[in-house]
Amino acid sequence: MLYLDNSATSFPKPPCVLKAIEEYLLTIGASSGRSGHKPALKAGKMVFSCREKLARLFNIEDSSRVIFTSGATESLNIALQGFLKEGDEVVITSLEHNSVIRPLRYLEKEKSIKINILQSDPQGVITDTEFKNKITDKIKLIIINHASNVIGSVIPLEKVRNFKRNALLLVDAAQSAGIIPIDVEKDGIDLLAFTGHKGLMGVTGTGGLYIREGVDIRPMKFGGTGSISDNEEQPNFYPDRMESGTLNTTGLAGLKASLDFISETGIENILAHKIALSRYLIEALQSIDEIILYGSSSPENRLPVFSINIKNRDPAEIGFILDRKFDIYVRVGLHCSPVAHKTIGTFPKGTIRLSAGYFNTTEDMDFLIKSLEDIIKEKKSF
Amino acid sequence: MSKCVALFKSIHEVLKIEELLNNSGIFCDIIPLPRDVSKSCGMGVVFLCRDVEKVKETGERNNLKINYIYTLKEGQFDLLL
Repeated sequence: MLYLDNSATSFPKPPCVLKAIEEYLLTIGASSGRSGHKPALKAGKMVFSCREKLARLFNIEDSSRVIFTSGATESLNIALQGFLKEGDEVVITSLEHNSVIRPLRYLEKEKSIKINILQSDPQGVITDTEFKNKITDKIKLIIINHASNVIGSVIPLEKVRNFKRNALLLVDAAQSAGIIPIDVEKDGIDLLAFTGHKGLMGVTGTGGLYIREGVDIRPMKFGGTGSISDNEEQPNFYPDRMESGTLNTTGLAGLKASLDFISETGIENILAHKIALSRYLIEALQSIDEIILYGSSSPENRLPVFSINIKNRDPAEIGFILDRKFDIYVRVGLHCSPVAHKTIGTFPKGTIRLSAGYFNTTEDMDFLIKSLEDIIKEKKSF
Repeated sequence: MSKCVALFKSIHEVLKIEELLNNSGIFCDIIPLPRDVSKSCGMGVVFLCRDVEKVKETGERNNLKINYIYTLKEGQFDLLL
């Protein structure tokens, strides 16, 4: 089988992730930040260490400003719903995921916020003029999809920083964290939403949000934190303020291990491998006349995430044959990002998305290409 | 040797200072606190009182605010700072 749906969640996970989860469940098991017994302290230290590793990865000075969530969608909701106030004006890109679009459309109705869109070209490039014209002094928050889950294009954050003006910058790093180096200081990031189970190679149900000191975010959850238990008010200090309820310690044990794996492998080596896969796959896809490749055809400044279609064939049909006949797992359709598909001209039918992971090889790409060639030769099955 | 206990607002800060002190070779441990002493997270960092200045310094250098320091003798907590 060949799994090419790493943009949904990465698979397989590094073996150390499974081992760490097993070890946590077998030998620790307790909840972090609550009781004072040995297993509870071990769990607390594990969570603390995971937080510190994330802070190091993103060059965050104070790890208490990294809060754990269930994933990027929750992080984005906390940031958007917790920061934006009545009548605020925001700027987003025309490549956003529904995890940004939907909370914003809700806030548009509920709080009369105004949404401005930075129009990307079909290759995923936004011009300087577009940044300059759309980011005015009135803008409170800029939301940037760092790497597109549809075409794999990457928006250079150092460029966005130059156009920030008075606005804060919220980066959706769901696709890029763990693959593309992110530095909250160098990139001028005020809020960083990430998930633990894609490029960071942990398990589902993990993720986080970095909140720069001084940025006021209303918590989305209120409740028990294990601290100032005699007080009926929510704590005003981090991370407790934003982390009510029992944490997903099982998932965080896995995330801590996958962060070690990334650090030992080197994020630059992970990126280099993905660029090499992109280069190989782009060349192969371009050699087939019947294949339409969307987005940029450069292997640089991108992720190995490709949207394609086969001329005069429905993407759902191709995805079905890849699955049933070849055991190749891809995702077809709109990928929760109708605006991105409008940007590249594939709305409403969508595309076939091929998203490679760190464990994929050029042999995998050969198998994919051979299978696509076979499908092209076949008659339609729908 | 007499023991002291430092109190912080969050378990995050307790774990952070424990790691920093361990890395500097300063003996310390994390202990649960009785309710009448605990002001926040219910845990404190116990260390030898001779290291009190080093502990305060480590806290200041790393932006970890020590809320209180108690001396601990035979289960009795007495406010020092």
